[in-house]
Amino acid sequence: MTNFIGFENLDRIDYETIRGEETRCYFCKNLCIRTFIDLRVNGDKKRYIIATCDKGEVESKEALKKLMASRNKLKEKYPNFVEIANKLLFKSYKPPQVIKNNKFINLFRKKKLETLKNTVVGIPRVLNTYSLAPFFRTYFEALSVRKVVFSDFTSEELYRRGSKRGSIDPCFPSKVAIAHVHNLLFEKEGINLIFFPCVRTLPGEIYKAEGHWACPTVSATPEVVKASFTKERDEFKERGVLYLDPVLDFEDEELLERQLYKVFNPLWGITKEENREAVRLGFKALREYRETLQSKAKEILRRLEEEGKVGVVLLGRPYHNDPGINHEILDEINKRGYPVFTIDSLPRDEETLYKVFGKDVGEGRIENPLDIRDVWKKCYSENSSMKVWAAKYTARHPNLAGIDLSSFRCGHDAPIYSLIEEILEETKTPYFTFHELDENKPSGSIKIRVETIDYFLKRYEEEVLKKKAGEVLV
Amino acid sequence: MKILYGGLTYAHDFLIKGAMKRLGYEVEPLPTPDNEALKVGKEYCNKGQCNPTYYTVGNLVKTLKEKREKGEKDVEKNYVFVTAGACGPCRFGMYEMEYRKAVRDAGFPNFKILTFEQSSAVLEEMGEAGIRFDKDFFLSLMKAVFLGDLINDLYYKTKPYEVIPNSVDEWKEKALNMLYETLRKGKSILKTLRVIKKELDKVKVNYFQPKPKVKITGEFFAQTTEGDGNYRMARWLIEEGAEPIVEPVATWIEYLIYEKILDEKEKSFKNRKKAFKNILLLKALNAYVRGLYNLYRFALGNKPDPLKSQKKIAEYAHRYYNVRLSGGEGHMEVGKHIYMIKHKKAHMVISVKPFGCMPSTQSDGVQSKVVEDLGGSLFVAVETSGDAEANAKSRVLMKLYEARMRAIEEYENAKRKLGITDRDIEIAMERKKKLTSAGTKLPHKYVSTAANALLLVK
Repeated sequence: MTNFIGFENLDRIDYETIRGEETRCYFCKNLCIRTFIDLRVNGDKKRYIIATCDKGEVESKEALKKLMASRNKLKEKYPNFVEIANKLLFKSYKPPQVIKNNKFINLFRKKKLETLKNTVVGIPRVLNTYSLAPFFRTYFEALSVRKVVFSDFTSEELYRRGSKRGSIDPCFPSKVAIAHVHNLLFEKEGINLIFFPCVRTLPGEIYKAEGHWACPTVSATPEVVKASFTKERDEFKERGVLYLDPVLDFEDEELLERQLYKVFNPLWGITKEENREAVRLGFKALREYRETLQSKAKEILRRLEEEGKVGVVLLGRPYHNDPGINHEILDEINKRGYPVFTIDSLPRDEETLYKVFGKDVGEGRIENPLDIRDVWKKCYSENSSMKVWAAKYTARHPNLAGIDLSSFRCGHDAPIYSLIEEILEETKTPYFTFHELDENKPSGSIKIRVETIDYFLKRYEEEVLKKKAGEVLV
Repeated sequence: MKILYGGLTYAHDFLIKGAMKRLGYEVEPLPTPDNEALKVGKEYCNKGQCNPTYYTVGNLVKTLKEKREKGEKDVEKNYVFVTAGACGPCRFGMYEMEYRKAVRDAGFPNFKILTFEQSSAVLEEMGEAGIRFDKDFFLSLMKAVFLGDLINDLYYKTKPYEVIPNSVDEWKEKALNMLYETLRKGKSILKTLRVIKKELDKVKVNYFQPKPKVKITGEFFAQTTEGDGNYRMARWLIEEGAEPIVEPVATWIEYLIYEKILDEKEKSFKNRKKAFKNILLLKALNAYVRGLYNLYRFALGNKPDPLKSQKKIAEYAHRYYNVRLSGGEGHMEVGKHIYMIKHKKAHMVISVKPFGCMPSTQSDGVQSKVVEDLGGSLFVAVETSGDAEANAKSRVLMKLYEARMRAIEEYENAKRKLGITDRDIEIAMERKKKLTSAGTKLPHKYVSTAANALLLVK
C-alpha cells in the first residue's frame, strides 16, 4: 500500500505554508510555534503539521486525547524499559532503619547522630548512578538520613546553566557531571552533603571475567568536578556543603563495606554492624530493581515471540538511560510500537538463558551463558563486557534487534565497535548505530534515522520473522 | 623465528636487542612510530581509538607489510610480536585484541601476538615453546631499560650545552654501542658504565647559558616516544633553547610496584599473613629495582637524576586526584607536576597526552587547580593528534617564553647573590676543567643548570 499520488498528479500540487500566532501550540507550557503545510491535489486537502514534539502534531484537545490514549496503549503493550528503569532506579525501596537504639552507644555519638538525621544527601544523576542508584539511596535511607535528592535528568538547559566551570573536554556524559553538581548545589534546597563516589569497580556479572573495572573517565570524574568547584574559591564550603567522593569497589562487597565505613564512621558515628546492614540492604534493593525489571521484560519478550514482532535492545552504557544523553532516540523508536530493552532488563533466568545460549554451551563454545570469552578475551571493563554479552544475546534471539549508542570520545566503546557489528551481522540481526553522540541533539536527523529503522524493522517482521515462524510450523 | 617489539625510545629498543641476543633470541625492534604508522593504524583499527593504539598497531602492520612487499616469504611464520599486556582499567589492556584485529584485516591472519603475561603452558600451546618469559628474561629486560633511561637522562642534560655540535650525539652513539656489546656478551655493565662516564667527561660543554628546564610528563607512550607521536617534543625543545627532562621508564616500574603494595594493604584485612608476605616481597623487589638503578647511576658519577619517591608523588597528588584511581599514569601526572615545581626541578611542565586518552584527560581536569595552588606554575597540557603540530607547538612556545624569562631572572639573581661576574665565569672555565666537562655532576640549589653551575665557580 503506497501513499504516492502518482506522477501525473505531481504538477497539480498546490500548497500553502502557515507559520505564526495562529499555529502556536498550547498543549504544554513551551508554547511552540508550529508550521502548517496545507496541501491540495485535485480538490483533496491535507494538512501536514511540523512540530517539535508529538503533541503538536494535532490541533484539537480531542485529537490530542485520542493520540495520547493510543500512544499509551501501545506503550503499555510494548514498553520502553529505559523509562521503566529510570523510575525503578531512583525510587525509594523503603528499607528498615539500621541505627540501633542503644542508649549507651548513642550517648557517645549524640552529636554525630544529630548530624546524620539532619543530612540531606545530594547525588548527581550521572554515570554509574544509572546502575547503582538503588544501592546508594537505600544505604543512606537505611542509615536514616533526612532525605536523598538526585539532580535532574540531563537537559540542554541544565547543561547550559551549570557547565561553565569545565576545563577539559572528555566525553559528554562525564562533562555534564559538573552541571549536575551545580544543579544540586545551587538549584536544590537543603542539601548539605553531595555524594559523588569514584566508583572504581562494578558488581560483576560476566563469567570468568578478567575484571569488573568501571571506565577510568567515569571513575575520575568526581575528582575533576571537585577541582572545578574549588579552584578559585571553595564553593562547597561557602554553601555549607560537604563534598564526598571516596573510591568505591563494588566488585568486592567486603572491601566496599570497609570503604564506606571509613567515610561515614567518622562523620556519623555509625558502627560496623550498622554499616554492614545498610550495605546489605543496598545490595538487596539493587537485586530487587533488576529482578523487577527482568521479570517484566520476560513477559514482553514472550509476547514478542508469540506475536512474531521485534523488540529493540539498547546496546549502550548505563548512563545512556539518561534522556539528555540518549537524546530520546529510544522514545522515538518506542513510539513506533517497538519495546525497548536495556541491558539490565534482559531476562537472565535459567530458562531464558539456556534458550538463548544453550546451543553455545552445549557445543562447548562457552562454559556458561554469561561467558563472553568466545568472542572477547579482554573482558575487564564491566560495561564493555556487558555490552558484548547483550550483543550476543540480541544476535541469538530472533525477536530482538540492536541499537548501539555510543558517546563521542568513548574510549571503552572504540575497541568493541567492530566486534559488536560482527556479532550481530553473523546472525543477520538488524543492527543500527548512533555513535559519537555529544551534547548536540540533532532532532531532525534522529527522526529521519528512526523512520528508516521503523521501515526496516517492519520489513524484517514481515519477511523474516513470519518466514521463521512458518519454518518452525513446517 | 624473530621477535618483533618496540614502543620505547631508540636507546631502550637498541639495548633490549643486545640483552635478548644474549638469551639466544633473534629480535628486531620496530622503527619509531611515525605519521605513516598512524595512517596505517587508522586504516586497520576501530574508529575512535586513542593515538597510541593507532601509532603502535599501525607501526606493526606497516612493518609487516613492508617485509612482504620486499619479497620476504612466510612473514607470518617467521615473526612474532611481543608486547606488554594489562587487565584494565584503561584500554591499553585491549591493545592485544586490536593488534590481532589489525594484522588479521591487513592480511596476516596467522601472525602471532604474544604478551608477557602468557604462561609457558600457553606459549607451548601456541607453538612458541622456545620463548620463556622467566626471571632471566625480565631481569635482562629491566637492566636494558634502566641503561636506556640513564643514557637518555645524560643525553638531555648535556646536549643543550654542547660546545662542539653533535659531540653529545656521538657520545650517545658510542655509549649505546658499548652497552649493546656488553649486554650481548654478558660482560660487566658497571665497568662499561665507568668507561662511558670517562668518555662523557671528555665532551666539552658550556653550562653558563640560562635555559629553561622543561619537564615532559603525560601519558606513557606520548611522553616516551621520540617520533611524531609527541611531535618529537624533547628534541624540538632543545632546538628552541630549552633543556628537556624526560621521564625514565623505571618510574613506571616503580609505580606498578607501589600500586600493587597499596592494593595489598587495602585488602590485607582478608588475610593479614598473606598480605604481609606479599608486601614484604614487593618492597624487596622495589629495593632491588631502586638499588640496581642507583648502582648504575653511581657508575655514571651520580649525574643522572635519582628516581622520584613514589610515596612523595602520591602524597602530593592525593589531595587533588585519589591515588587509588587507576588507569594510565593515574595520579602520577599531578604528583610529578607538583614535585617538579616544589623541588625546584623544572621551570615548566608539559603534559603530553594523545587524543582520546581517558585517564590523562581526566587528570588534566584537576591540573588547573594545581596551577592555582602552586601560585601560577607554568603548566601546559598538549593533546597530540598526529596533525595540528604547529598549533600544539605554538601553545608550548607561549609558555616557554615565560619559562625562559624565569630562567634568565634566576641566573642573574644567583650571579648577584654569589657575587660572580661574567669575567669570573670566563676565568673559572679556563682554569677548572670540570666546569666545561659534560660528566660533571652539578650541585642542586636552583632550578636551572646555569644557575647551579655558578655554585662551582668560586
